[in-house]
This record gives sequence, C-alpha cells and structure tokens, in this order.
Amino acid sequence: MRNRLRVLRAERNWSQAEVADRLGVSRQTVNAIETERYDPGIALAFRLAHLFECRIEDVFQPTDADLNGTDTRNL
Amino acid sequence: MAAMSDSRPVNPQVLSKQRFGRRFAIAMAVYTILVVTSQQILNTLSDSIWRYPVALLPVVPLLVVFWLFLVYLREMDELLRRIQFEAFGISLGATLIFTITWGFLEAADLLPNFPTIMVGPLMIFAWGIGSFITQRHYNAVCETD
Repeated sequence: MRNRLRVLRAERNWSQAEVADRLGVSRQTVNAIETERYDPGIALAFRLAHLFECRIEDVFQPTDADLNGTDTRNL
Repeated sequence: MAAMSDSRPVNPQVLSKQRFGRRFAIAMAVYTILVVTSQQILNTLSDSIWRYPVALLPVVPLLVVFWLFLVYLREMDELLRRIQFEAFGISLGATLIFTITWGFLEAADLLPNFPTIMVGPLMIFAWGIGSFITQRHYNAVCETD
C-alpha cells in the first residue's frame, strides 16, 4: 500500500514522534507505516486520516498488487 | 471533519513501556533476592516437606513477570504486538528444533542430558533474536527528530 504520510507530516512540520503521540502509537509504528513496510489496520488508518483532516484515500493508495491480492511483502 | 487537539498528548505507548520497565525491574530484584535466600534456607533444611515451597519461592516473582508482560502486550499498539507475535513464533520454533535435535543426539549417547532449567533462557534468547529480525523486517526503528 502506498501512502502520503511523509508528505502530510511535512506539510504540518510534524515529527514522527509528534504523529505517534497524537495517535497514541509508538514511533516505530509511524516509521514502519511511512516507509511502507507495514499497512495499518482499518481503525488506525481512519485515525491517521482523521488526524490529517482528510479522507482515508487521500492518505493510502492501494497498488495493483494490493487490489489483486498478490502483495507478498509480509509473507 | 475536526482535527484532533493541537496540544501534544502524552503517548500511552511510552507510559506503558516505562510502567512495564519499572515493574519488571522490581520483580526481577525480588527474584534475585529469593533465589539467593531460598538456596541459603535449603542448605539448612534436610529431609523436610518445607523444601518444596522454599525451592519454589523464586517462581512467585516469575509468575508476576508473566502477568506484567501479558498486561504490557495488551497495551501495545498493533505493530508492536505483531512484532512480538512473530518473535514468539521464531522463539518457539528455534527452541523446539534445538531441544529435539539435542534429544536425538542424547538418545544416541552423543550428548549429555540437556538441563531443563536452560530451556527458559534459551527461549528468551531466541525471542530476543526474533524481535531483532522482525523489527528490521518492518523497519520498526525510530528516525532521529
């Protein structure tokens, strides 16, 4: 899953730690999402969108592999 | 859609980690004291039924650590919990393979009896390695702000 977390964060001049504190998650989790090594669950994805005052699709964009169910990164 | 408060809240993940660290340190200090104390008492008790509870005294703080870790695990965010889950899997698999391999060699009289008290430390060692590997897999490291 692609995401615009780094861009959204930069627009607000927030550090990863600041985003983590606002979401109540660890900094490691924010970094893993931002570097696209981990796709969050739907609840956390919605919280991220809510934090940045946008729709979930404005933060996360599925790749063809996501839509086809052929993303094997986490296997 | 309203934004969350502008003030930066205290991160519950940080608080949870600090709380676990404090409680774990206390429990392990009690464990160390009880290991030493129970050994000293055992040296003075011979052929007594009291040797059972005295020998098992250090298990009590270990049960507390077990409970503390379960609480900590439930307070972790979704990725940290996932990392722990995968680390447990690695730890379980590595310990099973190691002990079964040792068991076969032991049955063939090629190795001495494996000390069962070492199974716990072995699992914890493998869990540490598993955590390291899984954290790297998810790139779950902190950038410097």
